[in-house]
Amino acid sequence: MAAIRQEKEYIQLKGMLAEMATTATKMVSDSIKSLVNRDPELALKVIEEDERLDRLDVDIDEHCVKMLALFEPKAIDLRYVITATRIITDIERVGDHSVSICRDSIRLSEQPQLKPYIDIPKMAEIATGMIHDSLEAFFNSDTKLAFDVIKRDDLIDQLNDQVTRELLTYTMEDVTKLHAVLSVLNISRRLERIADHATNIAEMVYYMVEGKIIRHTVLTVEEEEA
Amino acid sequence: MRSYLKVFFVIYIPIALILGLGWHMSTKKLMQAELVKFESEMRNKAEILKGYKFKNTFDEQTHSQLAELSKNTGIRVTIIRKDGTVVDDSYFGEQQIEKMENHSRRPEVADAFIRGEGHSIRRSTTTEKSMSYFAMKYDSGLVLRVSYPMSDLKAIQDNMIKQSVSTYIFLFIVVGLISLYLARRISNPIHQLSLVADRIEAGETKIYFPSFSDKTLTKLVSVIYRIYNSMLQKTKQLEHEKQKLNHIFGILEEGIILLDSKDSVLHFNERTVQYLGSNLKEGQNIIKQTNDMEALSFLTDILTATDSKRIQKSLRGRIYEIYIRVFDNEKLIAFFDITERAEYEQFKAELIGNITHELKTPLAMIMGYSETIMNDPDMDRKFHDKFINIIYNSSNRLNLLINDILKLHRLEMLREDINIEEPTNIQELKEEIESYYEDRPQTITMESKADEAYVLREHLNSIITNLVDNAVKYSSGETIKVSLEQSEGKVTLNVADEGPAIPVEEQQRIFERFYTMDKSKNQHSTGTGLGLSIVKHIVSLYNGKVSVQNNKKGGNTFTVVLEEKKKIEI
Repeated sequence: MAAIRQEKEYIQLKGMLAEMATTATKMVSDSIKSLVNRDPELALKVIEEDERLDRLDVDIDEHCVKMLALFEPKAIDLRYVITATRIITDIERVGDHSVSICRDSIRLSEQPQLKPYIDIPKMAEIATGMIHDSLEAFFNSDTKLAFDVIKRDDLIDQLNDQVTRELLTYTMEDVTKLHAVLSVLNISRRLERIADHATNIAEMVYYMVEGKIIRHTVLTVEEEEA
Repeated sequence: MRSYLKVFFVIYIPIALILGLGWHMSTKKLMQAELVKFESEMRNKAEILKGYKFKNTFDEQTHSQLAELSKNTGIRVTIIRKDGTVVDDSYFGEQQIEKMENHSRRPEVADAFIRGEGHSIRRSTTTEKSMSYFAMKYDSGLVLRVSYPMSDLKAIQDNMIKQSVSTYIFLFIVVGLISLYLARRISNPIHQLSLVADRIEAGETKIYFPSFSDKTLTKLVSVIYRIYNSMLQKTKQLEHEKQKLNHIFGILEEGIILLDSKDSVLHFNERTVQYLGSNLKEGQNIIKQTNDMEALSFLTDILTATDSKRIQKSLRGRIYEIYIRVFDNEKLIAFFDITERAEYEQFKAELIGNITHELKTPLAMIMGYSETIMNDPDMDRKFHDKFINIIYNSSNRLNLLINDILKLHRLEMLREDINIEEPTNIQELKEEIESYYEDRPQTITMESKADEAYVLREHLNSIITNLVDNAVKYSSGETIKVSLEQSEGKVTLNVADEGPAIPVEEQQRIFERFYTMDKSKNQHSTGTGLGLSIVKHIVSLYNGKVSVQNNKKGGNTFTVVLEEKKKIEI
């Protein structure tokens, strides 16, 4: 009887996590879409979505605490619940970053186009991919994919530096555009942060599957092949 | 096996009991007979001993004779006087005889004194053995007592018992064997029947039905066989029905999942797997076995339904109509992919909007400017001419648009086979194209490795001009290259520009009617938005393909492949 209930609770948790994950990934990609298409309506929709994300965050947290208290799970089940409680904070932060991108996107849509975005959509694509893949890795317990996500983080950092440099030279030429430049700069930074959260999630996935903590360590080739 | 033993014991135990009882009774009878025999023998011996004239007092000669007799036969002879004192005893000497106690109280002696003879079996106090006594009163008033030690009788009896025991053991074995045989005869058919029943229950298909000599059993077997046969027919029918159902499920356009009350998968079809993009196993919770994030949240939303309803949901860019039927302890979910329908609806709405928009724009210009001219007859000549020009251009554009729409409609309606007798001269077409585009800012070059092709000239022309027109309108490069090749009855045409490249997600949509890449419709008022649609339809007439790729120069290359439609000479 208890086992059946436990099973049911796990399934419920999985469903909730999936909902949260899909909501967050959609928020990230929609926020960038609103930026590129200069679509403030979509941006407003994304900002509304954040409420759902926050509610899910609280629900899942309570659910996890309940499960830990009731069933005292062991080994992989315990790590699963713990990982769930930890990644939802990351997912929730990803949602917040998306909201911030949307605010800037609305601001930018009120001004003339700065210049065609080239690196920003590229960054967004990588960041969205990372978030998506890290969560995919979580649902499939796929450490290989998790490592792949962690590796992609460097690329984002490089792009972020590049965008920053470019925008700096741009302001030198034309100071009047400073407002827009700051917005784009913020967006770039936010994307970089989203990528960091994806990396966190990927690290947690590795912990969940293998039971080893790989945060704050330098990845070696052997580990990646393990 | 157990029934076999049971039957065996049912038969054997009563027989064995009766046998045992019989044995007991018969041995008892034998013993008694032996005893009687013994007694009469002793009487005979006493009678024989009558011949001796025993005296009232101990006599040496007589005693020695008696002792001799005892030694030879083991018999003990005692002679007792009326007062109970022992005169002589063949077992003992003279001194001992004198010491012997009075025998008048011995039961056999007492009986002999009263009735003439007496008999008893008891322990002798004199010899301290179990003895059988027989006493007889003689005429002289003396009592002669003959006695045998019982051990002799016992030996005889034991011998008899031994013999009878071996006989009975033999009997027991015989009865046992007979019972075994009978038990087998009775239980074997039943055992076989139960085996058959077990096999039927286990669902074996090839079952041997034994035949029995017994009528009742034969009837029973035939009944079982008939029941089994009809069951087999029924299962076959069921299997068949199930296969039919599975087949129907398999070819259905809809994805179908049947879940029980705990959301475990009872049944699903291939289409479901295709739609959800994750493998399912029957008998497991659907959420537990799905690991794809999008599919998971898609499903959790659906599974919350507690009563039957219809919802629309999208998964990975496809739109599904989902019917949920909730039964008592089952849930049936059917997915129907309505992406194309939804897209078509949207497309139709867009098309109507586009047509009206496209037609209204030049019409509004015509109406507006002609009204201005009507209201202001004394208008400045310069403005007047300019307005007239605008009106003329707009009506031209309107005409072009209507022509394009009609052409497209015609092409869409056209589904007959084309048979071309005269091939199109490519060189002539090349000159025509190049002269047509002479005054454009870009350089348009056309090269052909073929001289002629079996494609209608107007069709080829229409394809090339439409593609080149687009390149002229939308590309910012210097040159536009048209190249034509022909091999094995196929004509391949490439139109390459120098960019900017059309994004990948737009590459499919540009072939739709009125689709222009920029959503703001006023930026390129030159295109009718029907060009590529026309190209697509011409291509479909020639069973061909049209596609667009990004090329090395950062532009787009449109590739058209046509099958030549040469008239077959019969």
